Amino acid sequence: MLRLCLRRLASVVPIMAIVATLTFLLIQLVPGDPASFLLGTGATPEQVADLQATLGLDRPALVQYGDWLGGLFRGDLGVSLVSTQTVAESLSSALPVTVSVAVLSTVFTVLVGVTLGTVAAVRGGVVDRAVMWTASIGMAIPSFWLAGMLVFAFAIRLPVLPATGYVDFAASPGEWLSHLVLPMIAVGLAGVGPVAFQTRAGVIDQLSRDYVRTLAANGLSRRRIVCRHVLRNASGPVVTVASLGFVFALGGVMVIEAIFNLPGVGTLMLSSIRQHDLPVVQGAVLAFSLIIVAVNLLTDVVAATLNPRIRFS
Amino acid sequence: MTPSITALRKALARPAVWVSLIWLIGISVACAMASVLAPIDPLEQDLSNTFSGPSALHWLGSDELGRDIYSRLLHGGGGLLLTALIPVGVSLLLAVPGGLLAGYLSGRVDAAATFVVDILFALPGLVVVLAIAAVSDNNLVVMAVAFGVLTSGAIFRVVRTATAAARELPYVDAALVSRLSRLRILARHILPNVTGPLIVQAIVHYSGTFLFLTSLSFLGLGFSPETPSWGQMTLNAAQNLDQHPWLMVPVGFALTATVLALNLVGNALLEAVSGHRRPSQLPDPRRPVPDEPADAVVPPAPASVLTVDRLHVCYPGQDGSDRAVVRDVGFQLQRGEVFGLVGESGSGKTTTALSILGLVPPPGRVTSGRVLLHGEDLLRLNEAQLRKVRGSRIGLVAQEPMAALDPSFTVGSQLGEMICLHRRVRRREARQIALSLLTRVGLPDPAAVARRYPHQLSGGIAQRVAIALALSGEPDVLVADEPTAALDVTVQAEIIDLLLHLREESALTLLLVTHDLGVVADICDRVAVMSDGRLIEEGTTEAVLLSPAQEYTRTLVAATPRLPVDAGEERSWA
Repeated sequence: MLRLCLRRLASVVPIMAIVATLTFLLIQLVPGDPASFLLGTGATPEQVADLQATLGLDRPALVQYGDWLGGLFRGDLGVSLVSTQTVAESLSSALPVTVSVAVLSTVFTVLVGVTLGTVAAVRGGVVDRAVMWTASIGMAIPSFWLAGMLVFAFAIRLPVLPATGYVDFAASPGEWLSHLVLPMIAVGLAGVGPVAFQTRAGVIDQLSRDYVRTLAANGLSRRRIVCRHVLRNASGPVVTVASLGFVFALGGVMVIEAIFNLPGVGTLMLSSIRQHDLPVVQGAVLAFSLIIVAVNLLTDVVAATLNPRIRFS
Repeated sequence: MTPSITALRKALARPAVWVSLIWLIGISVACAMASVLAPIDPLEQDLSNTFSGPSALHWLGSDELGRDIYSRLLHGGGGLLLTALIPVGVSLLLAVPGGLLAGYLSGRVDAAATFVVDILFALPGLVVVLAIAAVSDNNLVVMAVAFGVLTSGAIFRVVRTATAAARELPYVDAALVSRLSRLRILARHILPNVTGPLIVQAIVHYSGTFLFLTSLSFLGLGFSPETPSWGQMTLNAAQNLDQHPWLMVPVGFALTATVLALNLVGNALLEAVSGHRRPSQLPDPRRPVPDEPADAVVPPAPASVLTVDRLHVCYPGQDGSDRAVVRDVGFQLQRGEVFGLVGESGSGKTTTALSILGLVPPPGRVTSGRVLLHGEDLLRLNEAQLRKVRGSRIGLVAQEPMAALDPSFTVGSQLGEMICLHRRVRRREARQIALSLLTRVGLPDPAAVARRYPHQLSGGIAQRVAIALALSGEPDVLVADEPTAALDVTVQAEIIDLLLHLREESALTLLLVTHDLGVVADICDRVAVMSDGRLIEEGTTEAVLLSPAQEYTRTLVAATPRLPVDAGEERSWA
């Protein structure tokens, strides 16, 4: 188990190195001279030269690359071109918002999806079809449209939940949750379908296995067979789908942040794109990659914990 | 007709699928012919007629600037539907050759390609596309291509897996040996096997891409603010939601219906290529109570532990009518005897055995008969009552010992769970009982076996564990369904010895289901022969094996070389 963790951890290093390099190269993709592009038309030559110096663009590419990597090791992602904040500061205030919603919606997705998929597989027939139709329709509703409708229904017409804004978890966990319930559903609903489909397929497959008959022949109740044994054996692929769902949710949150007025990474990135604030954009790419790599790592560890055949191979 | 075409036809026959296809074709054509179907200029403002709601002029109403919603919908869909083809095309161009080569060549090429895909999966798709938007000055085509590259990993994995699987097929192997060129093998023999999963994945991909592009347009990226687009229309609608909620309806319907239709078509194809559903082994709580035979008052013989009386089991056939797989089967087990139920596979012997425990997998069901355990009819018990019989009064030993154990739990944990269930003891006590059970089934180091997972056991040890599991509730009847069929010959003998030993030790009554007359000769006191769902002959083992009354039994005996068929010979196996 420890060896597996270490091996996976080791494989993360080259991946992150390549991601860091690609992120560095992002600025080279800019057509023409990056500094004049970032400043837009109407910039004076002095301003362009100034920015070139700030970004280090006047130095050899290899030196720039070395600086960039060195900075990353110190947690230095550069300074925003627009505000005076460092990129790390901007991200550290925006990331918790986006990650909070993504985590909540993944929890929501998994709870609802696993329940629906299991019920559909075990009951079969009409229940199965009804559940799967619901999940299919849920998957097809765009999160940004749903977000609008949720605000309309639960914040305007039936004002039970706050429509907009964010409260820090540390400040008030209850407020934090109540502000994030609607975003959680808006982002999470789309993920319910894939999780439910995977759970259903896995449970149907497991239900046909011989060990289910052994357990039943030993007098174990249906509920216990399904909840303890079948779900455990069906859980591997569900964990993978859930982790893909989390990655998907990270993007989904960014799309709907504007509707809920959440000061997350989406809001930060959109304003940075409009203002050509490239260091912030680069920082966001790196931070998200790191999160995704960590989640993938966690997924592997969880999968190994759940499946003794992986653990002992 | 190839299987894939048959599957395709079956998928197309479903209403959800053809309605979806009609919608997809309809919306594509409508968007392509928008200027004909929606003559009002989508950009034409009419500030005197804002938020009009559906009317004769504006079929779906007008927006905050009085622009026609119907016209904007039709003009705004085409760009999205077309642009979504770019990432799918890019992904296919990269992933199909990549996946074919990685799956076909394996080794280093495979490792390298997989590493690249791992990197793609580590990149946050939306964030990277937003970054590209920042450096490409919001160029939609560049963003779409980038998205195609980023998402090619999913298609790569599908193609690689399907190729690796196709490579193992016998005729591909034959083609490899005959030294056809690699390209030819890939194109002629492997690609067709990959097509099914690839089409499904491409549709899923297109659907996801379409949704992604609408998100971009919602964020005001990529698509020009002048031309209408569904995402941007949603944004406008959302901004006016509290006063004019109608605006959300047309665009929401168009978006959801299009994505839903794509997903439904994809799912139907996926189901069509992925084949049949095997029956569930879970007991059915709504199992119908079978009919009682006409003269059910007749009591069983007093010494009988288990009586099966005129049992009928049916499966629904292709045409909906019932097909009987067990017909009028009856026998009695005396206390402490070993009773053999023999027959070829498909003769109904296993179904008969499973009927006793109420475990016939649906859609099969017992239609009539009685199963009396000490005079109590098990077929008339409900699921909760039957559960008290299973394991604690009748135990079951299955054919495939490895498959019969839950792969996720240790032997000790599985035994412990059953012991706690049946004997209502604490966990520590259960552990002691588990170890003594493992000792009882002849395992010299029970503590070591208890710590192992099923995949770490040999077949013989696994079968001993399965027997221990069946004994955990101290049943007095054991139903053993082909307990030796999956084992080596030497191990078979050990298991037979174990069963005989257990019978002596605890007066177990044993119902042994088998196709192996050698095993019957070794162990059974009496035997019944089944053929085509009927019980054709029954008697003492000696009588049935040495002087079979039925031609069928004679053939069966003759087909077992280990048996001395000559009636005059000494019963050396007794």
